[in-house]
Amino acid sequence: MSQPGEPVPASEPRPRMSKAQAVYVALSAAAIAFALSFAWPAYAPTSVFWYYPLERRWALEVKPSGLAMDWYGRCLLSTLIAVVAFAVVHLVARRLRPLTRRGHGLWAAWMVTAVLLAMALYASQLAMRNPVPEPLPSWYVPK
Amino acid sequence: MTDIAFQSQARLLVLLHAAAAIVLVGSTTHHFIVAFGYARRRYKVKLGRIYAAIVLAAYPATFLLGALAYPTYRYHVRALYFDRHAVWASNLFDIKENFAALGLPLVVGIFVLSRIMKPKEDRSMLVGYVAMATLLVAIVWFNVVSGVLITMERGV
Repeated sequence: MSQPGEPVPASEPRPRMSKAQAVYVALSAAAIAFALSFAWPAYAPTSVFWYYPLERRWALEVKPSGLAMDWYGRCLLSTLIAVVAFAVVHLVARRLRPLTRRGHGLWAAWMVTAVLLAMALYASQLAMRNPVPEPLPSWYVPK
Repeated sequence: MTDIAFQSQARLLVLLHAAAAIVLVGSTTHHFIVAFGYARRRYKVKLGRIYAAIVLAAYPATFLLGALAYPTYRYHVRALYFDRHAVWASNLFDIKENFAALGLPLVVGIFVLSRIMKPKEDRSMLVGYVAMATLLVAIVWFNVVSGVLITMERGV
């Protein structure tokens, strides 16, 4: 074994990130990817799956043509992106050097920032929204 | 009348959604206290793992039950009533549903980390774990309080 400060001999394997650390980094990256991809359609027009509850149909589009919900589509999109981010980052992280204490803190800080940014974006856009009500159908009886 | 998916079961779904949310708010809060305890060098690891497992079961259950009742809410409650008479409730619901989605990766992260992390030895990994637990407990409490307020205004 080489002593601290001494150059590592070429034959000695370079220390790699432990399995637990790689999972920690990959989970943080997945949470960041989920938060950012979930917030993205609220920031820039993006095609997502919209569900039309009255017609019971799905459509991949940027803007709906009637009463529709994009929440399912955004959840699906973000889940897929988070799974891919987890897999890629886990694969890469296993080849990197062990994570320092500062590295752990940085990943946590990025994760918290991404989630809070997404929450703030939706809260700010929705808090003051003025939705347009649907026309009342003929069978509607007010409760 | 309308033919919306799960419309006839919507009230039962919301009732089960509320029941699952009761389990969720309890387990998330207890888990947060245990995780915060790790930071103060109080290690109740087994308890932390149990609560993380309960959260992993309760969060997707609450999420799924809410998602199934959502189309009925979207038309009969939001489109026909909230958007006309209680805009604050309509907006609060949409904020709540988006926050709930953002909690999904945190639930998985907490469960996995609770299994692989050794709080006594992996002190540096604790920061991410406690951050996830804190964000999740905030989201769950916000959503439970919002859900009660919205349902008090009008239910499915």
